[in-house]
Amino acid sequence: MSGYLESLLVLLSINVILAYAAFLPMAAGQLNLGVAAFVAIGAYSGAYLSNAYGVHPVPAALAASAIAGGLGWIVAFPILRTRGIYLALATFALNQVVQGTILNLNVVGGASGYPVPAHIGFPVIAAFALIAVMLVFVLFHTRFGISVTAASDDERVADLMGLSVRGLQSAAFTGGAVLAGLAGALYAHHFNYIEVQNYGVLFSIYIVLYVLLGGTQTVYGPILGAAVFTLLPELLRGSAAWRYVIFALLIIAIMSLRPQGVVTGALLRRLLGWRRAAAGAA
Amino acid sequence: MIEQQIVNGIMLGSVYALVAVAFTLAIGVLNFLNFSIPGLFMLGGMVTWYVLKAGFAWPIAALLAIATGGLMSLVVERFTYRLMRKSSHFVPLVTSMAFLILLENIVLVTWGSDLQRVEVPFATVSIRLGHIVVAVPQLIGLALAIAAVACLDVVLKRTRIGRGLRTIAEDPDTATLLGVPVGRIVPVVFLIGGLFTALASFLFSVNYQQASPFMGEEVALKGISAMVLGGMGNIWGAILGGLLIGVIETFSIHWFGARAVDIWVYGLLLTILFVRPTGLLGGTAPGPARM
Repeated sequence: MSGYLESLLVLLSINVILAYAAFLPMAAGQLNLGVAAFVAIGAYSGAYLSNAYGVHPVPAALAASAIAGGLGWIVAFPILRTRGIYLALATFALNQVVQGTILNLNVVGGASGYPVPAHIGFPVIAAFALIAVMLVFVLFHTRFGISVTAASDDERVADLMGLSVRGLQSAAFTGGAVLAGLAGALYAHHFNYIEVQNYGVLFSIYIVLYVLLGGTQTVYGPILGAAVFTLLPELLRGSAAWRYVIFALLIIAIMSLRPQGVVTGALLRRLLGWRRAAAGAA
Repeated sequence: MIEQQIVNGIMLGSVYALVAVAFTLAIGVLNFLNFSIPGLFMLGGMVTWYVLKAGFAWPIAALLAIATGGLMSLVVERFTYRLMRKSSHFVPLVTSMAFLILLENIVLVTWGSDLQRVEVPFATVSIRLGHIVVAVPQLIGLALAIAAVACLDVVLKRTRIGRGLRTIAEDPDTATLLGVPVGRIVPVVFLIGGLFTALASFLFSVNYQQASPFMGEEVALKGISAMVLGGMGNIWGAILGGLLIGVIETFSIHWFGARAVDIWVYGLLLTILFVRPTGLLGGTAPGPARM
């Protein structure tokens, strides 16, 4: 496989994991603008483990994912006390605070970036992405998926039906942090260099936007969003900035014409219905 | 030394205050967190730089920057609030984020990513009060900021448009029933927000003699902290919050270095959201269920 194709597929795999990192809290009705904070935590803790302690990169990535998840679980307590716009603001502030803190940690290079010599190749990253996607799929075909959707549709009714709304919200937030941390550690070990300046709130916004581009109603939307976002620039092959211009225009157009995102439950049912009708005719 | 830091902080804070007014107006009246504001701020700063570089006088630069901000804000209105009424509440927020990305990248493509030095055509005069030095342009900026908010206060309290705005803030549906022309009054919120933001960016780029495609994220996002600190939806709170954030920033630079600023400014935002989400002056904060 050529180096170009490989790094493209690596980015696609990592973006798919990131998309689900943003999708999980969003499915529970939380607009998390702090995804990049957990990506940074995963990237830096994974890199630190393999640099300072010589941990093999794959267990280091898993540990980094667990660290990001643990921190996510802890901050979920105060953050989930807030709702709606306040939650978006709190996660936004969290992102800035985490980024500022890492910027001042000289042990991981501070503002000058952090090289990571240990390497994780494409097959491992692709396997991780596949496992992550399958986990989320399975999760959303069990009781958990239905409960999370119910809790975000109507918290009070879900509560009355005996669901632990706070537990579900906390699980979704933590799950997002686990995936974000994993994606961060994989990125750090594949590209061998991380810079905290890249994990700002704008990065969080990009992740959230490509999930919304695909649609948040079904588990299939985020894959489409991540794929479009990764592959579109390759089709354009212009300057890096132009692709973001086009991406932003695309988002504005889609939100104006199809505010639920491209892939929705109704669309899937219609497509599947057509397929069944065609089979019946044949 | 301490007094000088406070004065510097207040001068910087007047920029945050103006941005915070734009944020607070959108939240207070429309219940809408307008993420395009940092983009408008950056646009105003870059237009100021470009027009001054092209050799025009500074009043022309100010006028063009402010006009650009106002017009762009009206474009944002077409694609955000117009659609808000018939779709999920987070859609306008998302579209406004897309506008931030759009504006930033259009400027990147057009003018590159360098930090530009703004050539200010007037000499920087400063006055001395004891051992405190105050730059006159900054003092004028602060006065302009307070005057602009005082005007806005009068408009909101005394005029027909202001009454309409306050009715919409209470309940858009009832406002429609009462015959308030919601569709014509809402653009006013965006226009005022755009003008305030662009005024802030003109003052910032002239006083600190710099502009860059990233100045929106670096400077104007702090307006959100200022807004929450003062109390969401409260315009005098936005002024108080802005000035306080400016002072906090200069002191954290003084004590902990420039790299620690974000920890203090946004750490404070996080703390307020957890402890006292209505802010210092108690904003007319919107209902938590809506995005």
